[in-house]
Amino acid sequence: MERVLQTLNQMRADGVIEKYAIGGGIAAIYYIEPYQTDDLDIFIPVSAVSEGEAGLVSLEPIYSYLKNLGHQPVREGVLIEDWLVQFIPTFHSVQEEALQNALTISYGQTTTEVFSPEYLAAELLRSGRLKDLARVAALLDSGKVNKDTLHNIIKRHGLTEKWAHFVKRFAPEE
Amino acid sequence: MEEELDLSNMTVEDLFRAKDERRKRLANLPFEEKIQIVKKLQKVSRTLKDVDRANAETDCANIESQIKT
Repeated sequence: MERVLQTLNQMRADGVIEKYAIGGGIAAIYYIEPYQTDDLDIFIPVSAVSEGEAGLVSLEPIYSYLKNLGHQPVREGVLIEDWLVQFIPTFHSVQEEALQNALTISYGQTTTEVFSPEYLAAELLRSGRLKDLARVAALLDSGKVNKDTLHNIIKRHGLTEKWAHFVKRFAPEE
Repeated sequence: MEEELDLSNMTVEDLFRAKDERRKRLANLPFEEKIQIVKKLQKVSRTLKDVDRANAETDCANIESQIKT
């Protein structure tokens, strides 16, 4: 994992991506108990992607840089060391703000960026798959989420309805 | 070293409490240790998938052989 993070830091230093932050399952594991997850979700600014054919988003600049380093595209990501790394452009406002407010953490001797627990919970709530909602519940249960901050994010990014459904389904203690 | 649980003297509440405590203990591990656990879980998952695939292939071969006979 450390070598993956070093590669990401090198991409940033080389100007391939201006910024990045870990989100998704691995970010959740930073705050809660570990569980099985296969990929590493890396959120990047939309400016890092180019517009491909028919206006579709292309990750070509990123893939091409990594290919030169010997990292091959596999399924929906790129295999770096033994991690499937998925690059996710921040198309949603909550993702964009989560990236801007990411926390700097250490992994071994390497620094990296990870979504704060509040932004991570909000993004998982937006995503809304059952496993995402289960992670939101676990994050809330961990006591690491500032609920005022989370509610503020939810309100500002139009996630109030999703939150109401979540509360109804998972009934977290408010 | 984890303390051994005496299941004969445990209530359901004790079991849930132990589970909750384990979850909290795991959540408080250093990130690097958590990632090591994730890697082990990935390995187990891959092994199970391989076994599953091998079993499915054996089952198919058996069915084919039974059809032929």
